[in-house]
Amino acid sequence: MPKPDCFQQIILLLQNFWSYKGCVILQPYDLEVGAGTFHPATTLKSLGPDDWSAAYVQPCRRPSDGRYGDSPNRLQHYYQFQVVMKPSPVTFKEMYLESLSELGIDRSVHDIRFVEDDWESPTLGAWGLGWEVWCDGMEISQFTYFQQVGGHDCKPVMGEITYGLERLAMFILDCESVMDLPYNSPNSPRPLKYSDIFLEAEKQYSEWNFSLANTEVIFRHFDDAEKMCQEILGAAVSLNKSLSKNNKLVQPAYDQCIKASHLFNLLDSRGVISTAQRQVYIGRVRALAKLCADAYIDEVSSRV
Amino acid sequence: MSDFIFELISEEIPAKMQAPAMLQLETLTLKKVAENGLTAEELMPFVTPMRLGIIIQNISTEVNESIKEIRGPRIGASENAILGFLKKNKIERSDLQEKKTDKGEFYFYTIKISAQPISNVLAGIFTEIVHEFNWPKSMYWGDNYSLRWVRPLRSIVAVLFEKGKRKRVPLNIRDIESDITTRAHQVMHPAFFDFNSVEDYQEKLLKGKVILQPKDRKTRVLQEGKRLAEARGFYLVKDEKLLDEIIGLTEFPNPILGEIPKELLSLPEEVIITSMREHQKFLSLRSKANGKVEAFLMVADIQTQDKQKTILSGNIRVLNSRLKDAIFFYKNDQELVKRQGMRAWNDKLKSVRFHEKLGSQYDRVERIVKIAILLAKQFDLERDEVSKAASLIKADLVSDLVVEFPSLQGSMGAHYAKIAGCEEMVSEAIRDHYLPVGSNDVVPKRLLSIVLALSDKIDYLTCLWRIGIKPTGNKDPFALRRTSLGIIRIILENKLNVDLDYLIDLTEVNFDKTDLQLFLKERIAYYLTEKNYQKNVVKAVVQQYKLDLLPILPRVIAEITEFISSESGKKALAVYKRVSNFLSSNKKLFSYEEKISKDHITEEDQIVQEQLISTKERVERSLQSKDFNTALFVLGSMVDSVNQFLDNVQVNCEDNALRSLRYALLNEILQNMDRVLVFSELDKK
Repeated sequence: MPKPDCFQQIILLLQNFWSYKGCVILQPYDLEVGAGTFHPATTLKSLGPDDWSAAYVQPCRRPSDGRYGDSPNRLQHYYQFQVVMKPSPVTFKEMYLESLSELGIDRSVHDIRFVEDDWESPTLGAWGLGWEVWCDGMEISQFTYFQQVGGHDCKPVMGEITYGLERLAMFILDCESVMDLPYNSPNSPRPLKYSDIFLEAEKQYSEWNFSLANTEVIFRHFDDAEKMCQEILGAAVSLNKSLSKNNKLVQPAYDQCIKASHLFNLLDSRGVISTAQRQVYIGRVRALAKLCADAYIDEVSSRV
Repeated sequence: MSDFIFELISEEIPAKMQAPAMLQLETLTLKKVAENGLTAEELMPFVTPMRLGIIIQNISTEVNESIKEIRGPRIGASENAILGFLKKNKIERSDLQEKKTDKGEFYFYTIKISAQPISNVLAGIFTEIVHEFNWPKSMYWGDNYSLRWVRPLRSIVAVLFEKGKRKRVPLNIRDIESDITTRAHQVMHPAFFDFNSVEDYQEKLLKGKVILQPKDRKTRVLQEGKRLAEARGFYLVKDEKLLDEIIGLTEFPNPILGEIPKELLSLPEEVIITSMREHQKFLSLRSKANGKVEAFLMVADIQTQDKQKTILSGNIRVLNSRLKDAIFFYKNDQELVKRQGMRAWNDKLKSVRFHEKLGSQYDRVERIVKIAILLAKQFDLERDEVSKAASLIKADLVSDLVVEFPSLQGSMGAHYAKIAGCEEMVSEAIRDHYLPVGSNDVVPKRLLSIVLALSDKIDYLTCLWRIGIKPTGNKDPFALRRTSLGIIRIILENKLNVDLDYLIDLTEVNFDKTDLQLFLKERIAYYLTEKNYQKNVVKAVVQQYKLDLLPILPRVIAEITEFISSESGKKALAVYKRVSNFLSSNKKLFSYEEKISKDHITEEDQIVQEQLISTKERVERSLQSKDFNTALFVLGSMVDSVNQFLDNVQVNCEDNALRSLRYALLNEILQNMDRVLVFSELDKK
């Protein structure tokens, strides 16, 4: 395959590659998340005994990373390409390196390093061991072997690769700024750059995230999401009386957990959460994630 | 005699864990080899990011039939202990033998080790080692949970060379069969190969671009780096820690020299150095011409056809974008300081929490200012100057650049203080009040820096202590041990006359100080012992005195050390022992008390009693004036009469009252001696 010449080509190539390696190719989750890990195809599927291999693009939102489109590499909305395989295959690392070479990154010319970077998500109550992958000094991926999620051991262990798509594309396509990335092929009838599609959105959202978002409403939405999550799982008011004990509607509950997490990020970027409150909010989201993980484990084990 | 090569190939081992792992493997091997009755001439452990292993040369080829004795519980030990021992070794009571040793009588269990081929023994030893190995963090992978390892283990090489013949040593760990082939560098020489001897193994690996020994990789970086730097008029800024990390990220390090783009050199040097080291693991290079950091040494893991040009340009691009970010933050900070001074940041400190029970960083700064003003009275410092400097010491914590590079706290503050027009001394104090950080770090030297450093540290220590945060065992998440050691070092190494008790009282926190004082005494003893003062003397002295003695403690300990090795010191210790032995072997009689009339008292009693009273007085007086030499001299002078007393009178006499008096006297003698130093500590090792 020829070396990719644009952003979308990189995505297509990765999808193809991992589909050949046995992953189901999913689409992005339709809620605002801070990282591809939040997708139920990673978080929930990392629990329980079933095998599972998937790959997907996930748009991510990190409200406080917005720079009004001015920074060459910081965005409040960007894309990750996520690969998960469970149990982690013996040659998972080699597969990853092969994917780089498919993308045109030749290991005999470029210096690829695996630098210790243990992953921990305080909001998901999760951790794993792995590395960040450097290519000529630029961090292009995260590589993790999940050990625990929501306080539960991951057995079998899920292996996770997260490609930072913009960074990777800047490297492969030799661009100094993310906004200059060719989104589709420069040879197409109507070539578009990343900025053509996302610059205006970055400006609008930066304004919203930092200055305009109505924090009173968002605080309320956070409380609501928390309440709903608990209710759905029957932890607070038993909304689901009619349902059998082991059918706890984990997925709808987990949606509320994801929402709470994003709302917290938004409040944080508005600067209305004091450092003291910060830990409290993270703790509240983690409690929801834990409830969902517990319910998921219950559900899976009742199926067997 | 045979040679053995054992190698575990895994996915990348974190750099900082490599050296300890190599040491652990050597220690475990030594232990197991000896336990199994083998001898080995030389052990050569090695580690790279991808492999951990050991070469054993001239290992004994046979394990002869031998007998191994395992010691069990003491004879007369509880039934549970005995049953536990039986269960652990899977044996019956009839297997036990009783045996006398120098430590007492014990049950023993004897195992006969039958003769077996060396390769079986080695397989057993190294299977045990892998399972017993202890990584600081370890993991499972895939769906096999029979081994935790630092990262996925990929292959096991275990080869024995016996009389020129190559033999696989059969191990199977986590379904991985041991092999006789290995691989060299994963990019430059990825194919698996076999080898015919230890030398062959080493040669082929080196040819395949793997340098097994960390120290050899380090030498390569330093030599190559030096050559590159000198050719371009630079020299290397020493950074051992970073160097150790770099050699833990490469199997075959290739230093590359790069120059920092000119437009980035407007940044303060510490920002450039920090960004390069923390984000990119570059070593800094200074220009020989002007002494400035203008280039870097990066270390790649491969050699390429384009002589690493692509790698270098990629790395420079990353450096460029990082430092441009830093320039952006630096400009913001500078503008703010020029416009509003550093105080603008202090307001922002109100929203930065120090600890949930202790308020914000702003509250903390206010406390530090108060302490510093009081403490400054002891020194020749202007109140206003101290108050101004103290109020600015944490301002930089909320500057954009320090938020981005937390390790630049203090040094950026100093930089911005200069921009804001503060005096040199103030700027320096802002920078140095964090000192000393590590135990090899220097302590602040100028008075203002000293006052701020002490105020900052004592506030930190007492505040956390008051809300119950104390170090326990090896856990000290708030680094209170380091903080205390900092205080002690600043006082002692600057020969300051600062009373530690007084310093605690300056903090105005109300709490029971007793255990904090004990903790500080322990820290003082630790520091002095580290400084090679005699441990037992340090303990004997530190226990006994209040914290106000700290400034003169080293002198006092030196005097006492001299005293106890002198004739009169030895005599004093002997008398102390004689008396205390006497008292402890007659505990029962000692408690008896009865009033005694004057005419019962013999002349000997009277002499000793009078002398005790006068020595006590003189000891107290000299201690008051902190004159330890005299106190010791006085103690020495009463030794002879105490000895005479013990020689001439029978302490355990018939007369109850007299006996009671004599015991009381002896006890007082000990107490009096302990006033100067705790003699009983001197005997401890």
